[in-house]
Amino acid sequence: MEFWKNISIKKTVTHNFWLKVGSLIIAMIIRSYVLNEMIQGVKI
Amino acid sequence: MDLKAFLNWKAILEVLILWVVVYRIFLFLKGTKAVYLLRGIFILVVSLFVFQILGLPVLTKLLTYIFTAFIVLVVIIFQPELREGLIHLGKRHVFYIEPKREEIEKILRDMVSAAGILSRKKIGALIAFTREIGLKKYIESGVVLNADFSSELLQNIFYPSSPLHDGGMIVSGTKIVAASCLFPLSDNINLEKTLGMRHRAGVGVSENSDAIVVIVSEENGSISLAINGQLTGNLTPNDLFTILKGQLSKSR
Repeated sequence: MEFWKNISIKKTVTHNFWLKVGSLIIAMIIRSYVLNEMIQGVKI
Repeated sequence: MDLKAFLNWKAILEVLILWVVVYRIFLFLKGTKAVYLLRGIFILVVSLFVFQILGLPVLTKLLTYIFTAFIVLVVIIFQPELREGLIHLGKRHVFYIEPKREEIEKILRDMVSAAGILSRKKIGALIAFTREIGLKKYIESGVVLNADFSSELLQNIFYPSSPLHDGGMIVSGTKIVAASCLFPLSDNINLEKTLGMRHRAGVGVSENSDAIVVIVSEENGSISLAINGQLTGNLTPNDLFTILKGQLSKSR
């Protein structure tokens, strides 16, 4: 339970910030692409 | 893209899950040679998205084939790193766990104390403190310890008749992760010719990562610090404490 006392929300956000932003962009692109493929009825 | 459909809770959940997976993969790659793939993957994915938006079917299809082949190539070439990544999946915490300031101060005091003793006794030592970039491949070349850092243990390991005294030690956070690790030698021609293999190994590992490396000379007991390929020698224990504290605080 002591583990929770040392959590830093600010550092969780700022640590590797640009990697997190890039990962979010890629995640959104992947979802959009797969959704598009499914809608078009194209077999992946 | 239908914005309303996109913003529903299922969509948000899917994006969140994908985000965590993609982030974890990239985080793992960051500590290895495969980090250079990140840029390539990002460019391919963004290009695929742009071609799709612009409605360019031939380029989209072509890039899909290239992307598929690329993924297969990545799996074949980086198979050892991927296997290790799967083994370590889930080890990292979601939240950033900040080591207590007292713990860091204690590590620094223990390091300085040990460096002072080793320096007086002219016992050679090579210690790399990791920061953002992992030292996985060097850890694998040594003996994994995962022991709590202490001055006594550090002195014990570098004592000349100790089985682990040869090679470098890797410290991450509050743990001595591994000892007797093989560090790469620097081929920097501007280094003093009188420097031995220990100093060259310390400079070498600092060139290949963002690690801060403490080196104690066996010949004259001098304490040096290697950061980003630059060697600073003849440090007093107080100098060492000040510089280490400044550098390790900066990385957080």
